[in-house]
Amino acid sequence: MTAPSPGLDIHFEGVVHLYPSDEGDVVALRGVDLDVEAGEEFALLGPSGSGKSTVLALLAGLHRPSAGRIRLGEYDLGRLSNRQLLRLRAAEVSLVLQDPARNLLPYATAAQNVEFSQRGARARGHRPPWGAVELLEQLGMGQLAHRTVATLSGGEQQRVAIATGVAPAPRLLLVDEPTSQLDTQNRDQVIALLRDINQRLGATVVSVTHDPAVGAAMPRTVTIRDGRIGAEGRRGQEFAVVGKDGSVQLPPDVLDLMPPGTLVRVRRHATGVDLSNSELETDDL
Amino acid sequence: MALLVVGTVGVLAAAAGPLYLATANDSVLHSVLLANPPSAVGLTVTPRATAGQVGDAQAALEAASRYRLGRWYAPQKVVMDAGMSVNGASGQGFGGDLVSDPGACSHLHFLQGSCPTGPGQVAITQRSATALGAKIGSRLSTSIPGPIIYQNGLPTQGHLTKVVTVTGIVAVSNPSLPFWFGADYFGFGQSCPSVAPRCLPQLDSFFTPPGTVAAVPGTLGVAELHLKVDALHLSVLPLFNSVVGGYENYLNTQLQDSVSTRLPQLADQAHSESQLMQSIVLVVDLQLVLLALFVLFGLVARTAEARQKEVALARLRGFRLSSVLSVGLLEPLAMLVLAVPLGLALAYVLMALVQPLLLPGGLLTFQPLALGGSLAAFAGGLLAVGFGARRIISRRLADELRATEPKISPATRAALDGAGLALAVAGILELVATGVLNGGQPNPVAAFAPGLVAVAVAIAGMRGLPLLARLVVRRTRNTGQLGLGLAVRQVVRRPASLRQIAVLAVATALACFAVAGWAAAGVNRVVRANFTLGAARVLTVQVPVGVSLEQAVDRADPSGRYAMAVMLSKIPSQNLLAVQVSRLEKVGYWPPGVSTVPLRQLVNWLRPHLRPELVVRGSEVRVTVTMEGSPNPPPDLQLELVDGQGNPGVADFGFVLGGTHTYTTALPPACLLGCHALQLNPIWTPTQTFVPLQGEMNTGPQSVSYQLTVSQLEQGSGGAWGQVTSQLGDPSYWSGSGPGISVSGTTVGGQPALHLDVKDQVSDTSSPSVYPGALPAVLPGVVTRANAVQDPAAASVEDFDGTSLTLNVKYQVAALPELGQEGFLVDLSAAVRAQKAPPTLTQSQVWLAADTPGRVVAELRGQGQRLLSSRVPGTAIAEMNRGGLALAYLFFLFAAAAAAVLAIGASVFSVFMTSRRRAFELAVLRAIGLSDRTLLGSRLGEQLLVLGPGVLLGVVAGLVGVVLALPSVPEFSTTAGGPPVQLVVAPVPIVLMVGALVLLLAVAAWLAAATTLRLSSWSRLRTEIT
Repeated sequence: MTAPSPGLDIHFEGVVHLYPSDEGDVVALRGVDLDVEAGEEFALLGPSGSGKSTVLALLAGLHRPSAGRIRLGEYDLGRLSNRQLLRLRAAEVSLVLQDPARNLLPYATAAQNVEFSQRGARARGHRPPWGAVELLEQLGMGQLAHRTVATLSGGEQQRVAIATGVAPAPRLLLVDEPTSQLDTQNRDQVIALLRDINQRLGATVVSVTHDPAVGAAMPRTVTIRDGRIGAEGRRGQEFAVVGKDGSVQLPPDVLDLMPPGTLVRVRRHATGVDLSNSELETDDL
Repeated sequence: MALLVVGTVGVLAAAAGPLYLATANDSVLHSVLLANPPSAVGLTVTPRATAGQVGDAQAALEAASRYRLGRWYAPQKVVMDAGMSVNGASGQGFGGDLVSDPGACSHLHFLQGSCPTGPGQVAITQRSATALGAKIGSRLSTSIPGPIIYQNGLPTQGHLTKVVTVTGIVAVSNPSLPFWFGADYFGFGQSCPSVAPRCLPQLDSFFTPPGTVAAVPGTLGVAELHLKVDALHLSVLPLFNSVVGGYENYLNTQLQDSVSTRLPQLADQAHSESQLMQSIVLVVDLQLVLLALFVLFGLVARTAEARQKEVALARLRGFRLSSVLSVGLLEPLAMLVLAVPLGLALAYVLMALVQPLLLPGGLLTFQPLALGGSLAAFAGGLLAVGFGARRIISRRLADELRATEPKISPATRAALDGAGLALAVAGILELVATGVLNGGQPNPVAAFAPGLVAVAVAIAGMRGLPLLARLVVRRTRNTGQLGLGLAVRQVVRRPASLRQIAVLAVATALACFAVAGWAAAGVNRVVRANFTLGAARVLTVQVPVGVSLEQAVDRADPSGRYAMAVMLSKIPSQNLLAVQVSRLEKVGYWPPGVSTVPLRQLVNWLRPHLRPELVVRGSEVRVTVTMEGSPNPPPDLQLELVDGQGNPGVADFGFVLGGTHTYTTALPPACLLGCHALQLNPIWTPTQTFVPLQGEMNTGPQSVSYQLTVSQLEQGSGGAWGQVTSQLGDPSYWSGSGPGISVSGTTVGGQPALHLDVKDQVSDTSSPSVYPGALPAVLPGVVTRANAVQDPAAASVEDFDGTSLTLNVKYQVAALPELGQEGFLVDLSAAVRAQKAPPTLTQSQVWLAADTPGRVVAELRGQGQRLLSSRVPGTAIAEMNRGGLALAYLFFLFAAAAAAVLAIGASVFSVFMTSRRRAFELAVLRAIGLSDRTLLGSRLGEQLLVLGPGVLLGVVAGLVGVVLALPSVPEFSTTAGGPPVQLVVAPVPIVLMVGALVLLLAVAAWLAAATTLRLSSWSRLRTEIT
């Protein structure tokens, strides 16, 4: 497998997204700023309802941001027409939905599913560098190529689903909850597959997961809480992220020390600032 | 595949209407033509020339050849007929005809000898041979018309003597075969009209080659062109009319021939029948097309919905819009496109199979309207495809990916339902307001009513069912009825399959209406045929001279249960039907509703309670009369008589003088065997003398008054005198029949006597009669209880002998057998008693009950009654069944079956589609421990909760439609001449139809429920979750 084209870099600038509802709009993202380099592999972490899937949907062009700007490489997503978004999804951005069954035609074989995924790109003149069986073989799923999807195990289906995402050789691969419902062995296989794709394809790979194992396996993680970027992890270390407005989301595990409404004392020193609960300081005193 | 099947059925149903119509139109034309004698539908060309007719007839045939009439008319022949008289071996003279009819030999059964081939040879029937004492080789001297001769300067028909040789003795198997073209060649024994100057007993015709009669000057020649009914179709009718019109014009103008045919009138009759049928069929087919359109729309929409996942994936993978649309809609579109030719082809195949059985004579041809109908059904599918495309284009991908079902908002749904309901109700109101449904006028548009009612009821049902289910939900709470609880909860959620209620309700309503109408129409046709004929079997008989039909029937059936003598005369506005009323109840067919009173009551009224006849037997008769008063001139007393053969006679006693005198006069010779007296007429005529010198009429008194007392009426024979049983003292026996005459009883010398008081007699006759002055009669008319008993009316009608008969009409009935709505029903005995001469223009019949033993007919034959024809209601029923209206109903039945198939197909499709969707839910319920039985019950219950009300509402709507529309459907509103229509809803056919429908739906629901359970295995759950 060779890299057909470099990955897309991602830039979120103050992205806000609202879901309209009968009871009033629901805020999914509250000014997200995020930069991802081309060819990077990272995971979006966060609890259910935090907004991570919304980020994925915005990246895939399924939604348009209510406010802010999203740029994918040379594309400003907010300015693209539906037709251009279709074209983008045909060859450059590929989304693998949560639940493999939603990505696959159960009555077709794995190879046919891969071919189906390539039809959009082919129709627009993008010739994927591999055939369906060839891709499956390269991804270590050659033995599944001619099996009907309905007969595959859950792990196999998930891997085939990711293969369909890779099929058009996208520059950005978006994967939603790739390891949910999988056992450890299958989870590891999927993580390895994603890493393999990133390294060999050169595509930017964004995985949305609440599986810590996936996060731990990724070189970079971004945690979203309540629609904001709460933390970022690199090489296993977790960092709070200072927003453009100077705000910092504290990690949940320190909230017992500084619950919401706490008066925080900020002390500056050479490498940064220290935060402490002013009430606790008083008590100590 | 299901879409293909239902689509094909939809297209088939839509295409079948026009195909059926075209084929049935031909069938109607043929049935009308075949119901009439060949001579009526063929062409009979009669040359006007008094001489050279045969040549002209030949010329007419040559012209027919030039006009290429052989396409439609065969055989074409010139038939020659020369009247003749011939003497038998005993010297007895006979009358008959020498007939040359080409091809006759092949329709005669030769008992002896062979077909005559040379001039002067003849074939005669066995009975003619017996009468003549002739055998093969006999030479018979016939007298045939010769050239006109002049006697005393006046033209007179001359006669030629022609000797013919008998070469064949034949029997004829069926004189009513089309070949004979209605000619009465076999009238052996018929009496000639009394007006004939020279009346000879008739023989059957002698068949001879043309050479025998062609050159005879008095031979009548006509050209007969037999219509080939099978060759005549509606499609060629315009050409046919044009060619035949040209031919007739040629004959009229060039040859001065006259052409007789009833074809134009019959074609008009067929056309009007076809028009009615066409209206009904088109109304029904339109409903069927709409239903097919609705079903196809639903199916295509459901098929497109089933492709939602593929569409979502295609959009996710950036497919071009055209590719996305093809992923979602190509399959249903392909099925639709395939369904059009398949449905059309199947419609043709079906019609080809049905045509010989149900539409004899129809010609199945390509009909553009059939293509139009199928394209209309196809349009329904296309519309759904269009809606599907719109949804694919407009729906957000994110929603698509969530696989959420597109939901119509409650407000939109309510608006759509409200609009549909309003349209249906408005349609029904329009039909009521415009009088379409009032039953007064036949109107095919009435056939829309059941469909409209069904739509209204179905929409109400669709809205109401979830509400009802909600009530049931409460009752199933905290009970062990888990299956039912689950089922009603699904219904409360308004599943997509709820729309099946509409399809099923409309289809069931149409089927219910069609079956009810068809059954009622069938019953009415049978009733009508039986009533129109009068009895289970009607024999038309030729009564030998001097024989009483009544007495013959009495002898053949002394029990009075099987046979009834009937005489019938059809004179416009004076039709008369006389039956043996005492036998009417047992033998005649009298359905309910014909009269407001029971038949027994009518019979009692009609029975005239005749007194014994006054019979005079002998050579002389004398009467003793006392006259008071001196009328000038005196009245001439006459006794009006009828001999045993019905011949009238008069015993004229001469002028009556004042005082008491006995008057003697001779009786007609036939009275030696007995004559019955009709009236004792004192005829008075005013004096009118022309006085030449005065140049004016000298007139005497114009009216007179006097009194007569008849004290003796005696009959004499060979000088011996005896009293006639005359009941002179009984004034009720001698009822006065003229104005100004009153009859009373008196005594003269202690003996009863008849007293006539004549006041202001102005006319020439005023007489007491020995039959009732006015015969009780029944007249067809509006049957109302009010005028049935309170408005007796007197009428006058021509009796069978042509004299006037006064009737007392007390009861009115809806119609009369044989006569329809024009005519009078009287007692045969009374009508015969009132006859003063032999009957003329009268048809004698014997009506037979259904279980009449063969000996009755044999006995009638034994008494010399000649059976001319025998008719049973089956023939009329078969004719009516081939009529346009019956065929229209047959199509309605077919359409109802197609609608039912469509509805069942759509329901099965919907049930299975729902099953696939429900499999996951059931798998979950199964996983949490619900038993298979409960789940099966819930699925089955849900299907039946949807499908059951659909059928139930359809039955209700269908029955409402029957009540509303059936009286206005032409077959029922056209009752002229028949008994009242019985709009009885036959429960058995409806129950059978509904039962079959329910059974099929139950099987489909059970299969679907079982399939859903099979699909809802653990693996399904795993597939959905993983």
